[in-house]
Amino acid sequence: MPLDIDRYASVGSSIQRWDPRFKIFSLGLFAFSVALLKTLPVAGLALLAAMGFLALTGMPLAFISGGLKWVILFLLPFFGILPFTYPGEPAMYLLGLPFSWEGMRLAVLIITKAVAIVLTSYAVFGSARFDISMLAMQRLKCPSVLVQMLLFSYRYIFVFMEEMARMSTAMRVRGFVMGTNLYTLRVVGNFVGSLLVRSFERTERVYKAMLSKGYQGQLHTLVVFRSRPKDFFKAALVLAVAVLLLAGDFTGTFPEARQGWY
Amino acid sequence: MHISDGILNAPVWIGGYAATAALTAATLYKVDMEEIPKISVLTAVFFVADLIHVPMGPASVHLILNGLLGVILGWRAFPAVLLGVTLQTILLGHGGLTVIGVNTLDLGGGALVGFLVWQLRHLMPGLKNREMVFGALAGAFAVASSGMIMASALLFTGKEFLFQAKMVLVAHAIIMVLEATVVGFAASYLARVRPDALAGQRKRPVDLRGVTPLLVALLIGAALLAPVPAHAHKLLVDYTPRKEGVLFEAFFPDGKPAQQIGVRLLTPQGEVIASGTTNVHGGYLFSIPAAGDYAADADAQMGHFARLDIPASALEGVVEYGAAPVDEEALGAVKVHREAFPLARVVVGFGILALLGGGSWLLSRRRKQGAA
Repeated sequence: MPLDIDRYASVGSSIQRWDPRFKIFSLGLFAFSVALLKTLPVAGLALLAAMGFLALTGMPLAFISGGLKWVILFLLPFFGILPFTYPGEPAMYLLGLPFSWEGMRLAVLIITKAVAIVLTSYAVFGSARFDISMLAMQRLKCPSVLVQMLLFSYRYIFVFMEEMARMSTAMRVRGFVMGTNLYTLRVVGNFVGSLLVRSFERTERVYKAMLSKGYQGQLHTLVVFRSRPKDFFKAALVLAVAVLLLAGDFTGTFPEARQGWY
Repeated sequence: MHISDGILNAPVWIGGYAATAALTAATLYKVDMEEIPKISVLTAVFFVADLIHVPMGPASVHLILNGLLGVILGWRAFPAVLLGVTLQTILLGHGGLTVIGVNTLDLGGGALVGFLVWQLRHLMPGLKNREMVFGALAGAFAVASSGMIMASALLFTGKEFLFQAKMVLVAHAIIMVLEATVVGFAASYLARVRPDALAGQRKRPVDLRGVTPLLVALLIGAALLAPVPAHAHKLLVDYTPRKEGVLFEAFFPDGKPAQQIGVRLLTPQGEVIASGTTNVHGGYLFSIPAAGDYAADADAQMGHFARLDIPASALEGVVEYGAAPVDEEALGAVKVHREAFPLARVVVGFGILALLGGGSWLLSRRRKQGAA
């Protein structure tokens, strides 16, 4: 569970050196076009492309697999259930259950697309410091209020994790054991409540400190974005890949996943 | 609960983004600089709730806490959920880039419903421990609404996800109980320790107390009745053996015929024998090739699908096998269909809600007496 998604932001690769504004824009569009795909071979190519982008960033596999695990875990039920619940003519009966290839193909398509998009989002957000990615989002006309709140929340998450660890240590010291009972739920409720009270008090202090340093609702930063011809070139390359994938999908070269493998 | 990338079709996830953008703009209306830190804190709480696992028998489930966001932030809970979902997507890989809109809509929509339920507490100023009771109700309604929105997103994508949509509802029903308890206790804790942190506590310049509960009651009524139109769209089928074959009819629960929809005659294994579209009365006459078991199905799109087995015994002695197809116009009006209002189910639903509310109320009373 890499909460510090930007752990490998300082690796010097062509993706890390890319202007974050161009990177977020073009790889974001790439991810959304992958979501539109309907044919299996093209989705497979998209997965390869996403793996290529990620390989360029030089992030170790162990780091990525942590996040990928959740995606696979969530999608596994689809893989197990869809072939058996897909309405239509079943191809065969497995253990008395109607198994349909249409359902199987749909499940494979879903997983391929999901993994491709997650890998792309790792390539986007893992290759720059989180605050710089957020500032780039602001330059891309994402509302400033939202960007500021994202940055604050990101900071608070780590504060919270520490606070939670401290509080749960204190609870264990006093002999608390979690179980399936109302008592546990009451303790968890009070735990969340006191976590909130502590955080409110902290944010009030932080807010006053910010005001005294001249905060007026705008974020000022020393980060300067500079675009060079190379940045345009990389963005054009990624967008060309996205357009090619969409073209391969929509021209009907391959049948939709519901109708056939290729 | 989150939906992942790649499942929903484009109109659904793009619609999710559009609805989320509109709701975010509306709920962030006139946001004050001072509110930003508080919203951010709650965003972090929502994010971290994903990581608080509570044992549930052999497995463990994590909290959602979108109801709590509604209870504390009011309308501003929606943008907080948007940011929380975005962070969960980027940092944890829960959900996905393309479905941030849909996930925000289901969890944030739940948070807004939670807030509306929470506001209802002003209706009962005398109730002891009303923060606990209404906090619990807010938590329960928030999760229930989330489940319904998520299930609808799946069903709008296609009827092949019917089973998954049902699973989603079951999972949310389990989490609902857990969330209700935790949010109830957290709300009552905050009411004792930091009452100013809760939403809708201060009297407004214009006293809306008379109007708000009415609005809220209307909204909850609408939410409770939402299954009725959905139910009204449920597709029902029936068949009548005739001399020329089997008259297969598709209709909606209010008795309206399902006109111009696809119907198919199948073998019990699901092989298609014949297909056609229903006439103005929702009927279609299948000629039956030979004695045997059959099935027929009707598909009105958007996840409305019905299938019925036609056993050989029902056809025996009535149907002339291998009869020539009949002119559709000559069929004339068919049976009048109407299904009763699902009164029993509505009563059971209300009963569960009453039990939940009453249970937490009793519990809080007992604790009070124990303390005294």
